[in-house]
Amino acid sequence: MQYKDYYKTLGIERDASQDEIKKAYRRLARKYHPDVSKESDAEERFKELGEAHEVLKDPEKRAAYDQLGNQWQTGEQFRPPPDWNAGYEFSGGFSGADAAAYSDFFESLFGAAGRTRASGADAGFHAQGRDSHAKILIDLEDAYQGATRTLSLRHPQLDSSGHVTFHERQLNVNIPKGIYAGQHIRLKGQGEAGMGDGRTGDLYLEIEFNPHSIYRVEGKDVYLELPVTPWEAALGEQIAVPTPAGRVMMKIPPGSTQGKQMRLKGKGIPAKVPGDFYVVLQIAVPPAETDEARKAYETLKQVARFNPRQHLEKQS
Amino acid sequence: MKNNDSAPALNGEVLEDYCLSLQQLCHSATVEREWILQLVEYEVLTPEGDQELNWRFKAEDLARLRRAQRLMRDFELNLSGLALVMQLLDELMKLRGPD
Repeated sequence: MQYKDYYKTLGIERDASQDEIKKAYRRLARKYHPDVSKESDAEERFKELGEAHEVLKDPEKRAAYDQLGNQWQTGEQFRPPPDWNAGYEFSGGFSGADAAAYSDFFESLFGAAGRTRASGADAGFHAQGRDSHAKILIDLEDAYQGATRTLSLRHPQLDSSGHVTFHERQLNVNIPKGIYAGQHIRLKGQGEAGMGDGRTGDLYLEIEFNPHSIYRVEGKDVYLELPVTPWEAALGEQIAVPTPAGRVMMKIPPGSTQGKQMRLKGKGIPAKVPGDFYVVLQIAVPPAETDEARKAYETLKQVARFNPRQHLEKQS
Repeated sequence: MKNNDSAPALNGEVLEDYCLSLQQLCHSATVEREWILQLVEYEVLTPEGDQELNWRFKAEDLARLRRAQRLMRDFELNLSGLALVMQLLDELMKLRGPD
């Protein structure tokens, strides 16, 4: 198990006041909250923040943590000292983050959240199991062809002595063709178990796409930025364009301009009402690296008499 | 996520737009009815249908509801603060694009 430096996580000194801890947490939460952050590691960072705050905001837990001393480094192999916990009483009741969010380090010190919760279904007590929710990341191509994906789910479970254990299970799920991000798949009876004769809950899977190297997706529509040469744009050309459903030939009309959007109707995600596929032209400028290329540009300059800044000249 | 041939693959039901009743949404998200009524009052959720009985929520509202829960909890927001944050986030996401 690895030691975690909660002060470092919050970017504060070990002698920080409770007020400074609160402020540091709030500031970093605004930066790393997965619902508002654009940082790629936001989720991981926010979990760490939550854990550090959970310990340091509570004077009892903080005192216990401080008692470990400050000679530890983050990531160092750690084992709680044998007299650990003597004289500290934790009232339980963890707020905020999910039980699954805490590290082994945290749990070895403060126990798993919910450990004190009473378990056991009384005879004759029936309750419907809760629905579970999970996100599933698929590739855009899966939405075009359909696919089967394996999902690993962790369920917290109370064992006979009231301890929380995590039960991991794998699920194979068919991803139907035509699905798109934000849609949900409901799997009946795959949620949490009910109590007594209560029915098992359902599992809801929210679809999300992995970022794609060339396509951009908006709802059911798919966008591709297509680089073209100036002569292809000016003179028109037939170009082979990749789509998630395979290559198609596309006609670039003469006189096309930078940023022009062309639509291939119905070639987006094949939902019930299929989306469209958009090609956005990006005119690439050929380098003038050889004498011949330079000469060609010179000739073009003479013949074209082209001033792209005409509309700016009226301004003073 | 690799394909695993050992177990048969499950077929789920794809939820269409505006398919959840108030009761289903409460149950699925494990939240109080009162709280959803407030979210509708503050236009964080905008169901179809003119009255509670025939309200229909989008499947996406499940994700939206969970986001609202997290934001309220983690930033200690009240409802009008939440409504503002959700509205700004919606605009931001539109500007940033889905990537």
